[in-house]
Amino acid sequence: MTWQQLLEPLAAEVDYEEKLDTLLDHVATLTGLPAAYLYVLDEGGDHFHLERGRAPHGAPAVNAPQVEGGAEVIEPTPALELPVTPEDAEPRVVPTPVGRLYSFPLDGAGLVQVGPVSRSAPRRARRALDESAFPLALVVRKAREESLLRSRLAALAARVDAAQKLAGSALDVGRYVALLLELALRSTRTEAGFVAILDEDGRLRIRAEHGLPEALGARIDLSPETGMFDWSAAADSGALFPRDPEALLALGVRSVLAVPLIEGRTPLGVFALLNFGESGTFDEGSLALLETFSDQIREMLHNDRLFRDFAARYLGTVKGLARSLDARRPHTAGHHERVAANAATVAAALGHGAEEVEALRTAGLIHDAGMAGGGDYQADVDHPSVGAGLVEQLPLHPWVAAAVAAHHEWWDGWGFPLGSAGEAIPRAGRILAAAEFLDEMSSGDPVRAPWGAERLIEELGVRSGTQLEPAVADAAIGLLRQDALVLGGREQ
Amino acid sequence: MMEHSVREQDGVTVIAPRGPIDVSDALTLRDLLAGPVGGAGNRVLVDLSEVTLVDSSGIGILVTAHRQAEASGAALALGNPVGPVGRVFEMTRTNKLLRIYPTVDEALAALRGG
Repeated sequence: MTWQQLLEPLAAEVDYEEKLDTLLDHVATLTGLPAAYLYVLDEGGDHFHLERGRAPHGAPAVNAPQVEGGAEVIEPTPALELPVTPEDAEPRVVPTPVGRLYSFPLDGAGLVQVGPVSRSAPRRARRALDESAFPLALVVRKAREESLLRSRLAALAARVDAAQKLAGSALDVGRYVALLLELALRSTRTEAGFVAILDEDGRLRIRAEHGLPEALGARIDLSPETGMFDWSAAADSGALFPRDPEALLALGVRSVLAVPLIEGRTPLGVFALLNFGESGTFDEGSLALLETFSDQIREMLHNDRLFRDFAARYLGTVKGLARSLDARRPHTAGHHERVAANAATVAAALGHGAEEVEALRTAGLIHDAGMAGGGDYQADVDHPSVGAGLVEQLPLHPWVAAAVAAHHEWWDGWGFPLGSAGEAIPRAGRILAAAEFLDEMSSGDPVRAPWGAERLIEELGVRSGTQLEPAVADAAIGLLRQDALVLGGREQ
Repeated sequence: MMEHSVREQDGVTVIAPRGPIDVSDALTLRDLLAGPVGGAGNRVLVDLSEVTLVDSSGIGILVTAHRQAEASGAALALGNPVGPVGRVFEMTRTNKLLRIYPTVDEALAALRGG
């Protein structure tokens, strides 16, 4: 049996258990022994657990205990767990509940035990496993990675869903913060206020404001170095105070109360109330209300951060799933990365802004993730919708889901899954479609050689107006002439 | 203009503002504190007994004065924050930065003790 045949389960569009069953069938064929059990290393690294087994039906158990007096013989089963021992690093014959088996280590991926054998393993089995250990270990490792990715994806999806339900307004936190701010101002009879949140760069940005004079909003400086508030003590005590009363007076502010929004020891932002006239004041009742409102805002920001953390990890897992799909076959290795790079390059060449360009890069990195778990024709047709469905609830640029959903639509309506045509296809999808086409054709496959730049330019011209939007095809042609795109064939 | 009094008591400069302290009053408080907190060995007490409210600008002045006092070798303490005044220190978390005492006598004793 060739290595290619042994690696076949890796490329198959079947679930994890079926891949391992095929693997054990191959082991049985190679060794000529009917029983084969696969043990994999658990997370702690001190035990193997039985992942999958292949026992011949009706075969008598070798050396199995017999019960006297006509009682039913209970079929023995292999051990579900084995402690890791130093001896496991070498092939050997071991006694088990199902008889003597030949135990063979799979290069850190686990053990395969085959039998039944006598005191020593047959030469055929020893030689077959010796020669096949590497590809067998590779199949086990890669199949397991993919299965763990899918489980993690499902778990994260459930948590994202739960976080979304708990957060309620997590996706619309701006609106609810604005509402709370307005209520706070009204109940304390304050003239104006704002809620500013710290972004990833450590800068305060106004998330909601109410009652601020138009000119004032533009003049408020919230930078940590020179801005309205001194944050220097925030990391230690969470303290926050205005830097310079003269600057406030220059803005026309008569009184200000700035409450830091802190989570644990982490500053999140500031909730500031301002009065410009003589009448404004913060009495004890107002302070109590302000504390309540700032608690509410803090809770909302906490939930929003929680949701965004979940979303970031979830997206990371979807990207991992997409990469694992690429790893199945040599000619698809790096596919998602190249499509992402080329989609971003084409979008930039067409004059789209930085946010759209990055959205297309993200879409490129996940566009075929919807193929995971599918194995039939319908799954192939559905994968754009499935893939878009994986990310459409996340706080991403709308181009991400739109591009994934439409990356197999054709300009002339002959694509799938919806058969949309022309301008009805989102621009993001039209660009991603071109990037997908370029990589598929420049990577080749087992039956077709990869196309070089000249052939691609020719084909883009042919498909302009049919498969691809003419402007997108033209942009891609221009970039190919400048050698500005990443082609799959080169990497081979 | 913020009403206030300034006196010396047992080697401590006691500054006692009266009424609310808002943005413009904060500038007056800054001017009152600037000299005393800039001298090495000076001991300064802000008596908050008659302050009805302090906003964030007043808080900012007190924190800045505290830092200047530390830098110059002076000592600054606050005494007897009443009602909403104490609450504002807590809400802005500046109570952790400043030497605040429940009564004027305790603040004076702390300053005299060094």
